Amino acid sequence: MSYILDKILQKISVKDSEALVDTQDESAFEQILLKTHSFRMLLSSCAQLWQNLQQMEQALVANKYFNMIYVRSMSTKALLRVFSIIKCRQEIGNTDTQVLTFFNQLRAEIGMIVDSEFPVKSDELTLHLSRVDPRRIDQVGSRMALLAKMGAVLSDVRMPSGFVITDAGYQLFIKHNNLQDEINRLLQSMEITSIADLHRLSSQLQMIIINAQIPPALEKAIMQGYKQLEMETGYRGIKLVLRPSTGIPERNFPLESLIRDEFNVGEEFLLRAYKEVVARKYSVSAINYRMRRGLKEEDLPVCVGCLDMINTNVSGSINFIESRESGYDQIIIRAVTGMDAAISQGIVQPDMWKVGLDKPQILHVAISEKKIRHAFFLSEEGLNLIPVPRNQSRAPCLNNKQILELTGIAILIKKKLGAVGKVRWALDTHDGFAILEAIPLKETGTANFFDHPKHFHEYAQGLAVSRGKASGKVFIAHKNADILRFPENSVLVVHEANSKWASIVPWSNAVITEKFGDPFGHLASMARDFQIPAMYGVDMAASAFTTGQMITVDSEAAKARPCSMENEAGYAYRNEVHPLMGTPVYQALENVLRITGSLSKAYPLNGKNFKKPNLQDIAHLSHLSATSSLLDIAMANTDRKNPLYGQPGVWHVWNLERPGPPEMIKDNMVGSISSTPLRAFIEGTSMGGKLRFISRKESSMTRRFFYTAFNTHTFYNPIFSRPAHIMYTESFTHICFGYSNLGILIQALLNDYNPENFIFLLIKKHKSGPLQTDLGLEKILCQNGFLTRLEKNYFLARKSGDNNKLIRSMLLFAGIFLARLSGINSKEQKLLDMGNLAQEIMLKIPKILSDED
Amino acid sequence: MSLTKVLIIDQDPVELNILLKRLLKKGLSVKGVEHTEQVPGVMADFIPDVIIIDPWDANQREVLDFESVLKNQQNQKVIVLTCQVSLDLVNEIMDKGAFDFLVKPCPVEELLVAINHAVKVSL
Repeated sequence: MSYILDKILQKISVKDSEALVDTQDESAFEQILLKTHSFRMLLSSCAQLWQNLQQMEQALVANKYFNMIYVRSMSTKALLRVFSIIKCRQEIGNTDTQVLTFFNQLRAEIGMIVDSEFPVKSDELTLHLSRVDPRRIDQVGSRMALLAKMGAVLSDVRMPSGFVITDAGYQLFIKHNNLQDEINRLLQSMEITSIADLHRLSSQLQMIIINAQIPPALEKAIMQGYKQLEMETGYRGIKLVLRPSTGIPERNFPLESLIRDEFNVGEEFLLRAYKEVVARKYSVSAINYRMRRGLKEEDLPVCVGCLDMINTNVSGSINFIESRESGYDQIIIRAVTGMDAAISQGIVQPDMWKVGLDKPQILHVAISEKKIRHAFFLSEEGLNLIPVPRNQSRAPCLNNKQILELTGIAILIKKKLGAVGKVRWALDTHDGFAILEAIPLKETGTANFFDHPKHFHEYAQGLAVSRGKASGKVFIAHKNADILRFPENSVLVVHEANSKWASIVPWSNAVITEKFGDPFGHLASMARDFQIPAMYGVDMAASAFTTGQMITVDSEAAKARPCSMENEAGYAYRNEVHPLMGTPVYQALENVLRITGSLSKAYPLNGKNFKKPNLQDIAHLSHLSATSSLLDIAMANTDRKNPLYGQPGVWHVWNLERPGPPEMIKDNMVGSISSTPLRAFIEGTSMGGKLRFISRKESSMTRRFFYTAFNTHTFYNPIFSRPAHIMYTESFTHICFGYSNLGILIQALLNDYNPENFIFLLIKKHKSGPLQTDLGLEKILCQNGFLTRLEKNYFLARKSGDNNKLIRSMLLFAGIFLARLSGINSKEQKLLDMGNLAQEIMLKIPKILSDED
Repeated sequence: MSLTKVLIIDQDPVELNILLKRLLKKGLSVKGVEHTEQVPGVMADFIPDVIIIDPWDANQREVLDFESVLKNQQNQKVIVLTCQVSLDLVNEIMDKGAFDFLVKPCPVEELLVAINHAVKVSL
């Protein structure tokens, strides 16, 4: 066993009676005990904080679903941990109030994010649109709140008027009929084994709502709202469009887009239409959506906007397109004759214009054949499909002047509201353009639709509207009955991109349509949301493939081809984009993490950063300054000198559970090590050879170097200004030493509660030398699951949340590595060998551990 | 061009009434009955192009005689519109000769598309 190991073992084996210093004043000793207790509490809080932060980071990178409740609770936990850390630090003796000031600022910033809306509470069952504002989002849903916001800032643009049946109205309706109990009973009792089962559940839930009675108070409020609208518009028997508006402003694919609007509704069917819109909360697509996002029933009240129908000759949407280089600098305008419901339902392929916003100009045009259009007649209910005369079907819906007029509106919206995602508009030849609504919808994966291949080549080709690659058996669907008979994990092949097929998408492996459809339409959006590869315009696909045939759909390559079942059965590669990417809840978590600090991106060694620290900086600083305060107590009467170059190390060892003044290690002191992490490290050093200090100059030089290096900043790392030392408890170890002007700090917590476990390495390098990480150490640590960060003057690595054995293996590695490193006298040789050395040792670790087992 | 004629058979009078009104407003010629026994009487002077039927009640009991409707159909296409859905049921109904199978509640626009499709196929 190495010399240094002997020394440490000797030191640690000092018996209780010897560890306690008889002459020490009892009350002073109690004070030390209290401080060490606080320090252990601090360690525990730090570990819990890192666990919190790790879970939050994981939520962003993994395909994990979370909502604002998650963001709020995790943020609160992180704040509580850091506050606890600060309190412990104060108890240990550091009374610096600046950290608390920083903390309070960050707490306020996080509060702004997680409680960004200050909802206005109200029991009003309906609310006129003129009284809606974004603060009423809980009352009217995000769709109506955004519409009202647009109305407020776009005073020169025509918009629909109307009223909203509020959340209070919805709650009254549900409570009046005791619907929630019945809904919950059905949801819990029904076993879903096929898509037909899901349709049965959906149907029964919807019919329960449709057959329920509207309470008299709500009925009165709705009819009053209708009458008021008649008076405002001066039109008796006004027709309305009923639009659902939920409280979840999701940006990727709003729930509202799955709940169909009810068009052209008059007084006679108004109450019935309201119930139908509410019932569509339980449409198959909406159930799939909620299941995918893990949303609870009570989180989704359905408010309903009742808006006047605007006369429409041409309608469509403006989609803001984000480019990597310059943000939202382009829009795509889509237009069809008649109502734009034909676009979202996939009945008509719209005309499309790509327009640059910087210097408004049309960049690209794609005109489609529009054989039919949606229209509404005041004498009827709902929409009608009407044929478009042949000589008009291929004509562009809009002329260039109208396109530029719409572009002007888009620029205005972008200026006043930002690039909201999608804006729906309508054109009446008498009254000009009207804006129907804005949808916070971020579309991705459709950039290439102007360049789609038009002909068959080697394989069936088409336009990728949802990227990915998957294989499965073909199922060609024609009728509505085919929706119910669709075999799970098949490839859906249909003639056109009709929205009625959307409910199948989550059950399919891929989707192919024969006709080109709208890449922003319902079916394509659904496919992207569920990461199902989808291709439009695969000409004659229903003839080229047969039901039951195994095919591979590679929408990345825009190809579909037959494949053998043996080779590719069940294979599915899907584009891994976080499903919540771009949603407000995702952005909220991103913003919170910016304030809490990323695990891999924080350390308070850089004074510049600490002008605006994050939560983790505060935790680290508190941790280090608490360590420093304890070291001051521990080393009050010890010789702080480090040895000369080439001499064996002199360790200052302090057991936090049995605090007494640390002593210099003496010869012939042998005993057992009770601290698990320290034992692992020591075992490593015994395998690696003698752990020596090889400072080239007198120890105070080392101290001076570190002091100088850090003291230029507001805060400096106080730990490196101490001689080599070890602090430990049963589960924690803190090892710090410097040699050859390198400073190395290792901290590890190793206990039975895995999520708290961590190992943290910091290697400080003098600015004149190359960084260790350049030599392969970073690579090795990354390969072994460490989060690493390379800074100008230091290198950080952390691994946390692992089981006992893994952390132990890393401590073994650290021990072997440092012992071997300190045995190499040549600085150059040492630097060159670090990567190879790390690789060599890492390979040995599994064998060492398996031998032990 | 003559109006499309639709016969609706649904034992739920509320649903029947709503659907009748909505299809009438769409310009279709529509009649409705609550029981299959009434069908021959109606068809004496009203030959529908399409029959829409919900054969089951809320407890999935076949309260209307679906088979008799299919047997007596005179080139009409039969569309099932119901809440009672299962894979076996859909297969069975379609095998017996139904033209399509829709699930309640069905937006009137979608029902119209199915009706028009059925009429187009008949022609």
